[in-house]
Amino acid sequence: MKIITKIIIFGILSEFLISCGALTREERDIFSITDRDTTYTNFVKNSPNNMDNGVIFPSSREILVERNTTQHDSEFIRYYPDFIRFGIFESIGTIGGASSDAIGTGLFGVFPINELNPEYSGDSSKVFSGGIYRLGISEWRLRWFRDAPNWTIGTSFTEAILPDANSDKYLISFFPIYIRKRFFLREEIPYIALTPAIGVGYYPSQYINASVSLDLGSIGGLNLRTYLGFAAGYNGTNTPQMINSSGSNSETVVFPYAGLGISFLDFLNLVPETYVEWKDHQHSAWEISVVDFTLLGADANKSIFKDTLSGFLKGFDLQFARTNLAIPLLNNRFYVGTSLLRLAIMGRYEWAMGILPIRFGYWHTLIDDELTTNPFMEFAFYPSSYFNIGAELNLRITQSIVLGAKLGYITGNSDNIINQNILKTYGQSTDFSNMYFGISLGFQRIFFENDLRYNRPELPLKPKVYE
Amino acid sequence: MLILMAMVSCAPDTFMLNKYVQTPWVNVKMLNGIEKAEKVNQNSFQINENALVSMKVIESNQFRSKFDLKLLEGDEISFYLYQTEADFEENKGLKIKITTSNYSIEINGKEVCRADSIKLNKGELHKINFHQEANLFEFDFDCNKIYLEQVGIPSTEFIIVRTNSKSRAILQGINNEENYERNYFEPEFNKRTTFY
Repeated sequence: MKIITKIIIFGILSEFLISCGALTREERDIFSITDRDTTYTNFVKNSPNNMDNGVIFPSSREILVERNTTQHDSEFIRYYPDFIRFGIFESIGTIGGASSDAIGTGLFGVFPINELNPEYSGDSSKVFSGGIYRLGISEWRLRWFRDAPNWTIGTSFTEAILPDANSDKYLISFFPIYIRKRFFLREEIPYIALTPAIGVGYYPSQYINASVSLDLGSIGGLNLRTYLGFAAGYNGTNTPQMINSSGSNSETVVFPYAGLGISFLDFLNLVPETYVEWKDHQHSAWEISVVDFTLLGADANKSIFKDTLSGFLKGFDLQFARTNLAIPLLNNRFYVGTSLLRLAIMGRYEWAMGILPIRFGYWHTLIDDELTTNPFMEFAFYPSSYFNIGAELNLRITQSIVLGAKLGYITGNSDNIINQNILKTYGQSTDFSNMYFGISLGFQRIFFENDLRYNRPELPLKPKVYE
Repeated sequence: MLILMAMVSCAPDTFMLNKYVQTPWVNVKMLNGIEKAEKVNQNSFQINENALVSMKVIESNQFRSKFDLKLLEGDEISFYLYQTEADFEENKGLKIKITTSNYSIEINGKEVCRADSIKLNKGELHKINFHQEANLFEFDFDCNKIYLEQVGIPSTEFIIVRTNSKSRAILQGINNEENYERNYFEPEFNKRTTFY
């Protein structure tokens, strides 16, 4: 069996396994109230003549005793978060690999390189030579050392430690096991913690990774981290990294590193928060989105979908990991936000890509628990530069699905975007300015006034501590 | 991955009793520290000093709970019924406090009974029986029977035990027999009774 097939099967099986780990703990209590009611009914069969009466004759009175028992059962179910950390994506830009072969993914390791050539073997002019990437991160409470506080054990769906652009040195593992201990310097949102960690990856690479990080977050699922660490591992002959290698059959990797990291949709709980019901959880954001896709009609010349001048549908807008954090000023409705990636395509020659764009806006609820609107403006500076002003209408379909409409104006330039070959293939992007309108569907959660922690003075709720 | 799942599922503040008998499982949880109780065997546990421990008779709130109580150290143990582990409050539900000199019963923080006919003898086994049947609560201590009618509080799955800072005890042979109210639509329930 091909090694890639093995890896895919392993990944899928592991995903099933890890899905057994719950993110929500359910506590269920049952109650009963029992009422008893006894009714006595007297019947006297009074026949129309004289009756014998006395000790040896039965009385004509009969008593019907009806005993009713009514039981009111009720069930009370409480839901609690059952994880210390749950995150979608973490990225760290690292220094420590070969500086002559730097990957060049920049600060936080999220900025795409300007070169997609398969022959690309790094650049010597980059500060951040490598990166560490984690996808699907989970941590649970580890109750050892007599229940010592803030230990966790966790994993991620995939972890990739890339010291530099040399692919032989990539340490990649599915479901590496990490043990972490957090020393909290600040126990209010956003938390600040010093976190030593040690982890092992076992397939396809075998490695150990020890690190210490200073963590800020989470707030609305956003986190910033600084890392100092040391990874050492081995890529065997059958690892995907070595199969395509032109050099030796195996590679031993030693990688001391320092790094700056960012993570999205990455939520951290203190242990006491895992004893506070979900409904009383603290929310700092107006919106948290995994993915948001919009079909756009714009005043662009040509559609991205077909080579024609006519038609309303010209492009699309795709945003990953968008977070809009409420600013606790005035009425708490102003927000600041960002996304991991925004791809705004107005038409064939009018498009832009933004990594970590900055967004300001005002969140307004039109119908509680249903409909919101938010005018906003957004700036991006790399790889495209653009300015976008617009407004959105968001209709909550379910707690995690939102249907929306967007209207806006975007002006920008994408001439410096990735690899000029792409531009030659799909059309040279130029300066552009477009009005657009679109209908969106998002896998996201929008919040309302009563959800926001700034509007709930009773929060944070602390679980009862018994003496 | 299995190691990970095993370590995640570890909960040192909880253990289960009566897993292998045909009575409801009892989930014992230490509410104020992981060293407050120790499982002795499948139906017994020791409760240590200054402990607050809940016993949840899973999915059953009409039951006859029987066990033997042996006071190892100290002078007092309290039982709370008609209570829940979540948001436990001392002054709610029914509290039975037994000491080496007397006993008392409180309902919703109000003392309804105090006498010295029942008391704990250190090192001796005492038979205890809590019987929750509808609104009727029955408490047996050795050969003494105490009836409390019309408790008037929703019955729950919990028996919560508290010791003071000097007391240590063993609860052994814990057995919970479910006790259903019969459905009043059953024919024998509405039978006609004639008095002579």
